[in-house]
Amino acid sequence: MRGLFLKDFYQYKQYCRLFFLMVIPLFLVLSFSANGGNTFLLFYPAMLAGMMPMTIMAYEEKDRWDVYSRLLPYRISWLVSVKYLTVLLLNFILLMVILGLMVLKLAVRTSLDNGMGYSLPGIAVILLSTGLLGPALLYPFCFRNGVEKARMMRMIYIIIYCAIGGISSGLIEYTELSPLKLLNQPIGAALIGGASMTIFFLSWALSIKWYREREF
Amino acid sequence: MNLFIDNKSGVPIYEQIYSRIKEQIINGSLKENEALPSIRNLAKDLRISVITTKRAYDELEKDGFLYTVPGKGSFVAARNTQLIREEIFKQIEAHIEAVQKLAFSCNLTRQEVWEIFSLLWEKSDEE
Amino acid sequence: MEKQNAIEVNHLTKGYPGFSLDIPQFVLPQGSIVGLVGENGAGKSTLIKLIMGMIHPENGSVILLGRDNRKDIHLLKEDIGVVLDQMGIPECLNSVQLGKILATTFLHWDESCYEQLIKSWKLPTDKEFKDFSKGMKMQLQLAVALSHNARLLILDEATNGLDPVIRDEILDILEEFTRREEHSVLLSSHIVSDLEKISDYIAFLHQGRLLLFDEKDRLLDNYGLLQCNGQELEALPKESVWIKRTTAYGIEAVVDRRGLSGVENISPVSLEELFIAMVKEGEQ
Repeated sequence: MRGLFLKDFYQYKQYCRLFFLMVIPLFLVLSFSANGGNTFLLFYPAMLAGMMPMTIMAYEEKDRWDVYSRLLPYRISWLVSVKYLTVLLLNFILLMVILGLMVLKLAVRTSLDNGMGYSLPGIAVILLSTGLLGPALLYPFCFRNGVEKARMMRMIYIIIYCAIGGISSGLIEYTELSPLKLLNQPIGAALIGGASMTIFFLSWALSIKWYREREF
Repeated sequence: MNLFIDNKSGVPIYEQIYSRIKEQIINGSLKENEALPSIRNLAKDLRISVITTKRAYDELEKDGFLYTVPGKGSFVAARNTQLIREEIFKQIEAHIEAVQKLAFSCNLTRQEVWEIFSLLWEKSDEE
Repeated sequence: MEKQNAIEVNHLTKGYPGFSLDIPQFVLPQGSIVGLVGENGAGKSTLIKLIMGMIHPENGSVILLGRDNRKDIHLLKEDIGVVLDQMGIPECLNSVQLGKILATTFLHWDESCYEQLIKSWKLPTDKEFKDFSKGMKMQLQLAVALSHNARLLILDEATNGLDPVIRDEILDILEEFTRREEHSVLLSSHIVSDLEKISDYIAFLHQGRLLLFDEKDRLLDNYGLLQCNGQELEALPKESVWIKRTTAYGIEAVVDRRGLSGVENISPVSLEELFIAMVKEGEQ
């Protein structure tokens, strides 16, 4: 599997430089800025991070690496797992960075309100859910039919995500209700976190099954 | 060993190999117990099929011109004078048939042909 | 010791809209070079994909290097080097990066062999794959296939669009590769003259069926080209004669020498002419 990670690494370096160097820092800065920022912006990088491997999959299709890799001694489970493991890794890194920044903020004790309003576990859970659900829903279709055909699902996912984000923000602003308050309770966090992880791993297994059946 | 293969002559390649090797064994260029190239190496060096060289070697072995030691390769068999005589008889017969054909084509009699033969034979005896 | 076949195909069928492949038997004897010839769309690539497990057959099985290709095929792939017409190497990689990736992919990656081949073919080491010419792309793929101690090489239309000098070099390499009797090659192409040069056996695929599988030299020995006029043609047994072309000056036919003893003036025929005549005959 090392070879597969190495290959992906070379491609991330080539095609995703912009994301790592600009987009994430940009969103992090924006979300920690005045007015507590829009928390929606905080989770957008997480969603994008989850899609990164999909970008690589698109290049793999264009290069016909997906065909070629079937001729090399890789297990099909590895071909799939590299992408899922990358999602976990990227989200974990993002989580660490955000938590680090939050700790920094607390230490500095700025006058800015901690616009988050959520506890650390809450943030972690939302982050993970956002970062994991996208791939969980999309990747099986990518492996089954190819990235191009899965793009439709991607559109749907982005629309749903924006809708949820919009509704949540609206709810917070105009009502006392905050669905996100639920996350501040350990039970809520554990439930949602657990659900996301379960869906993610189920998706992983499904991707392997579908990719095995796929014909080139 | 000299081997030239003509792809375009219409003569099957295995026959060409067979003939060339046999020639050289008979005329002594290939010595008794000399090692011949392996079937595979010969094929690859000549850029022909291994099946063909194998066939040629099999025929040569069948006709007693070479022998194979398992694991070691093929070697020139001892000069079998009897075999060689037979071989040369065959060639003489073929030549004589050709002479006959020529004689018939212009109605030469056997006597006339014999005279030509005797004259030439005497001449070479003198030389 | 019974020589194993490098590839054994049994009762293989696969259907697509408008095309079906049906091969009761196909064998690649170990140590030989088999040329797979057929027109575009004949099913050569389909057969190779079925052999490599890239597509699944409806019926039948494939035994690769002695093992069923449905089990642990990723282990088998260590021993098989494949070169395809449409490349699959990521465009942004250069040959050095590719080498590093493959070094951790193959158990028996031979780095010095890979570097040696790249050097002797003068392939660039700092250019990205997308900037390689078509010939160089193919050569890099071939370098990869030759650098992991494979026992079986499968080349699918790998010489298309290459100039004759490079093609000849590649044929040389394949000949050298099979100097060892555990090494075998399956070479598929519609450039019949290449296959005629180095194949031990020829398999002729046409519309998904195997019309012919025979020793190449035997084919060339048994068949010939005959030019005659209409009357002479009438006198010959029909089964031994396939008409290739009729002109104002006579008839050119591909003939089976075995059925035509005593007929002179039969000249050698090329495999290409033989196949064209076979296909035309089949269409009548």
